[in-house]
Amino acid sequence: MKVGAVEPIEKYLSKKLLDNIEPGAMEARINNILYALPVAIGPRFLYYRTDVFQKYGIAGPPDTFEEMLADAQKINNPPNFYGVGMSGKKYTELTEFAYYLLGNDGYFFKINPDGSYGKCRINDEAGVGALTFMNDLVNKYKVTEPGVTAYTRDEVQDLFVSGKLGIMLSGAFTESILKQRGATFKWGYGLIPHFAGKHRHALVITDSIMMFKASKNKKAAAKFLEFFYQDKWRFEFDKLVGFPPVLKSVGKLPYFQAPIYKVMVESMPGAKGWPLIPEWAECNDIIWDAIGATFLGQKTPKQALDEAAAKIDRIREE
Amino acid sequence: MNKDLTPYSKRKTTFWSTESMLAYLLLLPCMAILIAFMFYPIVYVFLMSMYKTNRIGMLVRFIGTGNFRTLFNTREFWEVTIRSVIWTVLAVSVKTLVGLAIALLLNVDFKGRKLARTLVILPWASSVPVSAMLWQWTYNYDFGLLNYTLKITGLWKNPPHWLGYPLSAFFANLYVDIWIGIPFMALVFLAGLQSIPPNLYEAAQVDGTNLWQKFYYITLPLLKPVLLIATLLSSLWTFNDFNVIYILTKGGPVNSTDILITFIYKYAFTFLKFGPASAMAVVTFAILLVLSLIYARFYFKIERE
Repeated sequence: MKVGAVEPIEKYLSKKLLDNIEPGAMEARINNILYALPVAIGPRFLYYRTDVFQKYGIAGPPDTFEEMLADAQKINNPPNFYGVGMSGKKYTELTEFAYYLLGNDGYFFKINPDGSYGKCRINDEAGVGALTFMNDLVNKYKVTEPGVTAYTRDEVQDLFVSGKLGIMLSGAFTESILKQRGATFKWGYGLIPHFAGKHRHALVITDSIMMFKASKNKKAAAKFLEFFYQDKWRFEFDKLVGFPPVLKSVGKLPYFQAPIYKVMVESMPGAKGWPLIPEWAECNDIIWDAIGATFLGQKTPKQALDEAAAKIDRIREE
Repeated sequence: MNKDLTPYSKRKTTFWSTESMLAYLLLLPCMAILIAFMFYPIVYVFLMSMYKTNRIGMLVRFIGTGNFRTLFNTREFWEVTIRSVIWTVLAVSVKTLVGLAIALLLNVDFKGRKLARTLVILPWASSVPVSAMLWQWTYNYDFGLLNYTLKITGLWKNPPHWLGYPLSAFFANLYVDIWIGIPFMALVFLAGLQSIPPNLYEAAQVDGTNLWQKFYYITLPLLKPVLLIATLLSSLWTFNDFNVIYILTKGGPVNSTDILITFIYKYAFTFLKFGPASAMAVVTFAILLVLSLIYARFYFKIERE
């Protein structure tokens, strides 16, 4: 937007199309201008092994992270089976730190009254508490797979799909992978946990489709969007990628009444997305370094996040 | 014939009426491609290194050495540069020594030599990204062949997460780079060995020299030019070995395997900071230019001798 490359999209689209999109999915509405349409929306939630939980007499998925730790300790059986998955290798997303941070009523930046982002706050009580808990899961309670800094989110997913994990925090794409690879064990879903006494905030990821300002075929592009956002094609697309529907009309179809979609719909209230700032990729990288340094014992969570927050604030001031 | 033509004009007319004009015309498309896809991007990188750029690579404001000053004041830049040098020195040394040993062995006539030569070239013949991905899976703690073999043979009951810790990740990356690079060195050295006249060894045999003396007084001096060229090329490629590190560890964990080229990539294509990334590219060019000039000096010194 800053370089003037993106065309505000609202004037090209019909009211019927725009009214049919879930308001919570309109991540690309910035300062009340709509710059893009949501293509896919993915709240994060919890997968767990229902067969293993049943074996150990655990009633259902954990509601809080503290309960998740207790459950993980019960089912943990290294080296063949681990309680909960954790990724520590740099990836495009800051998972799982985002889940624990949001579940501790934390966020990446202070929000100014006008809605813009202020100073970085990952090193406040919520942020340090979240990273401390994650580090404890790995290094104190040892209920995760060891060597977490060798695992990206995809590799943790591989562990769950191959039956080596009891709990994993992930998105709808894991369901597609489980089915494609023919996983034979039983699994269930739960809402993303929160810390006791804090609010539940799932992380929601939205991929959006936008139009370039320099495009010479804006009307044709809008025509394509009207075509693509018809129920028939959105249904096919959503089925393929495994994400919940962005269109209200598609959300009413019987296909999306399955338990996994139910949990995703229930995750939406209070869900938060990534900060929409141009420097986010670099901030992401800095926070990953802080997480990795903590897992490797190079720094304490407070040291790592203090340094990361200071670096992020310096970058944003440039 | 025009009697008023000067010798210069005569040469000019002759030039345009001969095959030279055709040669230049035929070279023109290639030159156009080189200029468009090589020289123009190189010049633009030099420009970006001296400008503040926006996130789509457009020049915003001339800042002279601003990007370089920021880089030289960044601790991470120096860490990555020193690591690149260590990475290159270690990898090229091992590739040279092992490559030379393999070349000496393959120079001996034995049964199955042709098969051995074919097998040696395989790592280099495969695409580097494909090899790196294979090794990524080989190093995988849970499903990889390496740990499976170590556990099942009892050689190492609890092997490490090779790519999960700074030191093991660095050496795991180094090993793959060496594994891919050895065949080139072995083949170049083998070609060099085969160009050494056998009568020199026969004469040495008559004089009663041993194997080591033959190697030190005949093989090594005559192989020096080839050694220099091969190690120079290997140094240039190893210093810029993006594929192996990016695929195996993406510079992690915690930037412990980042070298200049992966650092440049991160700045340019993840952070979209083309100015500092271009400044680093210019620094890389300067380092490799100095290295090439030093090699060239040694090479021409040997030629004169």
